[in-house]
Amino acid sequence: MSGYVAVGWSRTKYVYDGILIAGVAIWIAGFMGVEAWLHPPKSQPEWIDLRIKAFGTCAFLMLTIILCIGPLARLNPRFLPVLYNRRHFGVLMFLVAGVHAWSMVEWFAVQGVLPSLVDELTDWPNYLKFIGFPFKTLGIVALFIFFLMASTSHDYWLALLRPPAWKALHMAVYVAYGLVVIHVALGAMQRDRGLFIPILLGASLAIVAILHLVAGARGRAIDRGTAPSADGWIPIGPPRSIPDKGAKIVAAPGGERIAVFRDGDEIGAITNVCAHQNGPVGEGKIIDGLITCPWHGYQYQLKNGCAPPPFTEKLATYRVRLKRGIIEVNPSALPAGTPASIKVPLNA
Amino acid sequence: MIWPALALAVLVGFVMALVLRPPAEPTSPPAQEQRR
Repeated sequence: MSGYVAVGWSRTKYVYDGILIAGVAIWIAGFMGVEAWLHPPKSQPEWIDLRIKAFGTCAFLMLTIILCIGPLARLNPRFLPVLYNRRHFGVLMFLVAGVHAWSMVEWFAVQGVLPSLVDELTDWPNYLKFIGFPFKTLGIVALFIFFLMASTSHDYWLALLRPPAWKALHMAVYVAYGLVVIHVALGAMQRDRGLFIPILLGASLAIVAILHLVAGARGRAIDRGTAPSADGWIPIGPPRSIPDKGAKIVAAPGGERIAVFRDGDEIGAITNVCAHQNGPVGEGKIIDGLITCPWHGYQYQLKNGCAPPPFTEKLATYRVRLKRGIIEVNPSALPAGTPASIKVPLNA
Repeated sequence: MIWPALALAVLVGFVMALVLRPPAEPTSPPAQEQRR
């Protein structure tokens, strides 16, 4: 293990978490209030059933929003603040889904029919059916994935597992989302024959899919990039075409993305992959003289890709040059932390 | 290729579940009984 540094709490994080918890409370109270008013529950199991629905819909909406945050932040930097604390959102969603699952167990328990739940989950012939498939099993598997993700969400685990393995584990959220969609489609949607659930599922699927396709198309446009010149250097453009305190992102022939930053008359290139959590550094800005990753605020010096002391993260740098008024970058990565920035005349 | 395949499987599953779900209202008491 290396490099675990606890990230402190800030007022912004408290506000973010406060809004999250308030949103969950409003949804649960609103859903239960309206439903109880329209169809007053007549028994304890009916009240529990209402709670199952309220927490289930809440967890599903939260999961949909969580999956939209990534592509939205790639398409528009205004969504970046929502991305910073996405992990808290995920952990809270796991807790809400956990209450949904626990309420289901309670529904069987208060009626003294817990064995029926076991029978339902172990009715093996039903696993061969489509309609009639034990949909609760799909929800349980998804909840287990959310549990693994929530329990490893802390930066301690990120440092222990290393970013690639951690990221791979957390990509399982898409598998869990698929399981949840089918869990609802084969469960609640079969029993409740109104339009609410089909619209909820269909809208969620459409929004998540479209946002990922659009954000992916933008990423592929960067990857197509500009062909390197005869000597292998990639042209970026005149110095002023790189936004001041910002970057242009290009792709090396091997697919590695390179972020070429400009801070006034200083230009430097680093890998676009943050050492913390593989975030897109090039979509960040230079703040207080340091390149700042948009995901979690990890910072690096433009001149050499090193985090400022006492931090020890280092990013690979790339050689840059000014040739006939055009900034060019050499796509061969230098060892992490190698000084490689240059000063250029801006009136060239 | 795994992600497009997963997305397609989920979409097909959702549409099938929607198409195959029982009608909105039971047509007769026996039909209602059968669903129980």
